[in-house]
Amino acid sequence: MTVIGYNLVRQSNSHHKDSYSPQTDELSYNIIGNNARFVLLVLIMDNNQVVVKEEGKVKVRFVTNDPNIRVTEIAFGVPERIGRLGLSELVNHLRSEEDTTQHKPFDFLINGQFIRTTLDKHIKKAGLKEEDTITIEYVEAVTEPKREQENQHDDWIASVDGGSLVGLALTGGYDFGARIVDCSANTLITAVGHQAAIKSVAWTKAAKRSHLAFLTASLDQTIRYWHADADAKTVQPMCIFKAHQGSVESVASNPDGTRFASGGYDNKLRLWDLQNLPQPQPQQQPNKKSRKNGAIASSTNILEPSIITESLSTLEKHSQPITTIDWPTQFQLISGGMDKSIRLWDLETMSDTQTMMASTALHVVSYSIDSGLIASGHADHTIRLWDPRIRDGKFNIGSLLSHKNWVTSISWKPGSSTQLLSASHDGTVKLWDTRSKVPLFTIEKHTDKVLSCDWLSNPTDSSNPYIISGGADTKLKIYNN
Amino acid sequence: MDKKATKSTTATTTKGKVATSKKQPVESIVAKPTASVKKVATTTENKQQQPVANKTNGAEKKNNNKKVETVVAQPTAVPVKKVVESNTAAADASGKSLGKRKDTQSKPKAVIQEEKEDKENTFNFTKEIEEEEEEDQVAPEQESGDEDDLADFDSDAEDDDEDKELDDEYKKLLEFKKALANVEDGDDEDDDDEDSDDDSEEGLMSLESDDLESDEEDDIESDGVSTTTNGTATSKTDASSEDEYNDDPNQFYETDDSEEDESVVNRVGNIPMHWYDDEDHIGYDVNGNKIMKGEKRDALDKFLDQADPKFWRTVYDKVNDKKVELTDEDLELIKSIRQRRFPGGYNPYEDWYDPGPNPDSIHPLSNAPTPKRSFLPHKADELREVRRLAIAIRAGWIKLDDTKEEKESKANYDLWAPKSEAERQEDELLERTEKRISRIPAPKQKLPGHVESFNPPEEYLLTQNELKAWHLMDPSRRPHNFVPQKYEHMRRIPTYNNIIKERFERCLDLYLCPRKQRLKKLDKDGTHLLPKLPKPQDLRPFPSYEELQYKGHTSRVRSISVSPSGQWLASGSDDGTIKIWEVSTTRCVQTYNVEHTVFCVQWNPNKNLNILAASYDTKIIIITPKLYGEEPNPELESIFAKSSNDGQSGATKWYLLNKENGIRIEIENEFKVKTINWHHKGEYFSTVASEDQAKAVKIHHLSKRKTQAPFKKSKSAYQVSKFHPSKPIFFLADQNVIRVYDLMKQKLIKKVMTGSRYISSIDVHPSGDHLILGGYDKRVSWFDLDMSQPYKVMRYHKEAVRRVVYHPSLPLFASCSDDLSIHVFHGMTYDDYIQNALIVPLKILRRHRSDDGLGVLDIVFHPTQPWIFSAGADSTIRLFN
Repeated sequence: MTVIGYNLVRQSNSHHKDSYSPQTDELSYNIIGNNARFVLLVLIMDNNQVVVKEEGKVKVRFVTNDPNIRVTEIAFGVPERIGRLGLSELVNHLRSEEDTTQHKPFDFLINGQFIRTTLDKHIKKAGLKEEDTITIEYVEAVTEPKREQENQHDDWIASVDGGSLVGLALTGGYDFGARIVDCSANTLITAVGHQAAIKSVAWTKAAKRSHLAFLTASLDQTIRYWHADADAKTVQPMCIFKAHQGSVESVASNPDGTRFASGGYDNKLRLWDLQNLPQPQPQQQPNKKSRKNGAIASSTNILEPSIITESLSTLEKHSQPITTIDWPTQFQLISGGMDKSIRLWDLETMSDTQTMMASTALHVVSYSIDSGLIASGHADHTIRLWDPRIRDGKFNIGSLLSHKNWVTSISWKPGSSTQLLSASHDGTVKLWDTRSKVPLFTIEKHTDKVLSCDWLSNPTDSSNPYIISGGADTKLKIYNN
Repeated sequence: MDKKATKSTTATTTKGKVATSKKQPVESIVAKPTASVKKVATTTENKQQQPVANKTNGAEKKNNNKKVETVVAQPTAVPVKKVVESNTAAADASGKSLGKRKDTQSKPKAVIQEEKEDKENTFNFTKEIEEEEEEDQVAPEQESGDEDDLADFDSDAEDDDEDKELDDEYKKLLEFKKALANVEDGDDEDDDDEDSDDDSEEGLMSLESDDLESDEEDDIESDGVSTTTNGTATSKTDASSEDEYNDDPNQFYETDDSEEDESVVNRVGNIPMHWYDDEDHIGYDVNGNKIMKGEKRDALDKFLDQADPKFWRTVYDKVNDKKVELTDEDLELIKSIRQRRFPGGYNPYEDWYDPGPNPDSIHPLSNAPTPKRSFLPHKADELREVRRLAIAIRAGWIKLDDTKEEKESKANYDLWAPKSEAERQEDELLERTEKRISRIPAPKQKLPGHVESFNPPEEYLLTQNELKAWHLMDPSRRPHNFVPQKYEHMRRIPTYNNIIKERFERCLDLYLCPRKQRLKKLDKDGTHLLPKLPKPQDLRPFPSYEELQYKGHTSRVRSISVSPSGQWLASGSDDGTIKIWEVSTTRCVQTYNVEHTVFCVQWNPNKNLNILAASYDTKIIIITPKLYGEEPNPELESIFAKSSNDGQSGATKWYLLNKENGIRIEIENEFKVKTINWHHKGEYFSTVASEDQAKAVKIHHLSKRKTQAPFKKSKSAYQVSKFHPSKPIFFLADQNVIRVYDLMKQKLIKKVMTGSRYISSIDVHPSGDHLILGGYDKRVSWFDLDMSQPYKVMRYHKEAVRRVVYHPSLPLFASCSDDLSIHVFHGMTYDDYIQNALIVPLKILRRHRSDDGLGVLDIVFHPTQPWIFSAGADSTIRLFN
């Protein structure tokens, strides 16, 4: 017995189950959707008779890369007015999951574009032929995270970094302190020492909970290098990098944590070495003032961090303040600033190899290792996608426009070539897929400006990372499904 | 000799008049009573020896042709048939008329006789004639014999005269008839021909008449002697003519002329007939035979003739030598001639009768379209023409035009060749005339449409209601000035009433036309008056949307300032606080509570220093906010370290503080300082107190902590001061005038009369060559400092303008006002002096809310980004991107 054809019929009233007609060997199932009911008529025949495609139907074939959700690849006739939801239900049914609780929402792509309208409209827009069999790729839909945890900070959170492998989030804020927060939203460590608000934080070593290292850049024109032990809940400032003439807006270390770059309001991009750092010296005299805000880590013997005033090199190409730096791979350093430029630096020659000019000042750049694309967040509410590999100068390959205010933070999903997270002054965090013009979902949990967002690796399920975001409402939020 | 004397007077009077109207009454004479013919016929029967007379008579009457022919039995009768009846009829009538003339009293009798006439048998008539003849024959004798009776003679002469008159009239009648015959025949002959044709008769007649007139006296003299005197002639004619007729049986034989006038038997032409007086004949007929004179009639005969009842209507035809009895018609005719009327029966006012198109007309009247081929030249014609031309060219008769070649050669015009004098003059003239006279073509008249048609389509015809409406309508509003009407055909179209009026109006139009100077294009919305400016979209970037709000103040924000790095924003408010904000995050990083209304905050332009000057009450404070932590800035400290000169300079007291919060210096003033302006190097700053006092404007030196007040009191209070962005030049504005001082030379360079009534704010372009000022009089003016007049004065704000600012790096400027709006302009200046600044309005930003009539109190541009910050009375600060 083979299933050779499906016929999806919109049924208005009937919701009875399985009206079986022995004459035609027709089986009909009821699928309960949100808005409409569809009756899937499965023609089951012993011989290989072909069901004639009816009018108003499109022949489609479902494919997927995920073996867990794979269904048959035989072409079906589906009503052309079917939407994403109907297709999703169809696929769920094909997976022969009769229990609706087991049903998953799916997203569908035709030629790499998400179906966001009905099938016929999409086909028309994409310029496909309805006569042909259309191959629809389907993926499990990304849904808005259901669970949400929050960690109350003392002041605005300016920067978050969830790039540790052990599920620890690093935050820095206007309370002059940096915090290490675990994925249950508990503050583990607070690192205090800056004399002004921390504008940027970055993990340098986060493979082990006991050996953590991170950087904090602050308005006080310094960058601090910290060592921390999450288990012991200790933090030790290792070094103070003091060379910037203005506030340091952004800091980023290379993947192996041997070097880092910083940039700020003095328009200079500085490269620093994290190796061979002088060890912090024991404090000659106890610090005269203890910080009011931020409990000092319980370390009995206070070590004075060594001050480093000379950077490896200074890259002075930006004409205006540098607002963002990304160092995704060992050899790629990207910086962006108020002068509207995104610069790619060659670390061997210490020169900018490529400059991509945007139309407005940008606040954040983020490089996707998986797709090789650069996403930038701008003051004109737009997220722009750049492909630096294009040689004819038209780097800008697309833009994502849904935010209603400055885009402050962008983060590509680890392991994904298409998904990216963005935060904005409008108080929302959005997840985008570059294959769709519309965000996959929008998190509107914050009550004030979101200044930073990131993915937080999930130690238990690496494919399902947390989303962390923090902003002017002084709350660090951690979302997951 | 007759008793016609009574009539003579009347006859003589009419004589001249007859001549004038002689030609008219011809037609009425045409018809002839048959009776007279019969009479003649009978006479011929009786008198066989007079065939000619018979013939003529017979010929006169077409109806009686047979009779005549039978009587005469001559072949010549055939052409004679055609003879117009009138002549003989007239001849007949002449006799009668003579008789009639004699006694007008007996006229009724005569009429009765006439009436009877027709019924009389011919026999009687012949008798009468015979009697007459007898009388005539007797008459000469009587005449010659009765010489003693002078009175009689006299009367005779008179009679003769009268006779002559009658004769004259008769002749004229004849002429008349002839002419009429000519006319009737519709002769198209030329005048010459006519003359030649009529020569014989007319000439004769005229001669005769001449003779008659001239010979009146002769007649009298020769009456007794000659046979040819008129008197005798008249008496003789009848008999003699009868004789003559016998002699010339073929006299009318085949002559065209005879057709015209049958009565003229004698062909001697128009000669004085007295030439024949001595001859026995009176002339020659058409065949050259002599026409013998009739029997001589003496006075006795004449007298006897009088017995004839028709004597009065009998006239003597001298040429043909016969008596003619006038018919009634003739008499009527004569009568009417004498009375100078149209002859009876002729209606000069007869209705015109249009016979319509003649079916036999040679001109085609069909409206069939002219065939196309008729327009095409015939091939043969063409060939012939070509041949002709070819021959002509070959022979050199036609010279081919060489002008074309000349023109071509002119096209290759040597531009640089020196012009001849004539050419130059010609050019000049041409240029002048072309320039002066700009001819406007006459306005074209509208072509008639279907409405104007005589047969318009049904839909154009007005219904009753429409017609009513049309009449009620104002004439100027009517679609047409006529009512469309339908006519069967074009002949029915009446004269158009308004044609004169419309023609006149048209003429008036044409007459007035050259005076009208037409505008090139009348653009009612006036968009063409707007200058051509680039589109705002092309002038990006400029602030267009509100992006961020800096919230924290609780009262009006009076003043804002952005740090030279663009990172910090300082604001001073009515709530007594000075706040410093991080621009990119809207984070308020510092708050200073001064507990007074803050009038002004101003960052020091030195990027590395982050010094903020603020004024409140009578104090100016210098703040070094700890934005970057506790870490001291050595450069900054050096400024405040030199405290040696700390103290007073005049009324201004400097106090060096070292407060925790960063307020480093406090300057005590006499007046409330409203504005602060830093010198571009950050060493000096000027303050203006809007008090109308001397020393309201001061220049402070920061590191030396010294104050100068070099400016005198102005007429009006000083408002605002500015340092030149690069040069040591100082701008100082009072309410109306901006004074420009050179600080090095310490003198006034320029005085800009702004025309503003109350300056609120000025700003100097980063290049230093331009200036904008805003006033409480709602105006914004752009000054080019090289010009004395404002380059542009703009009135777009509805309320007082609070602040005008230039963007420090981009070609932008903006103004804010109490009407809650911020106007952003593109203000591009050019280095070359020729080009004026380009000002393009870009955007109106209207986000602030009003508070107690105050709107936007201060605006400032971000030093590098196209962002504008605005401080409103609604206690918010907004960033527009």
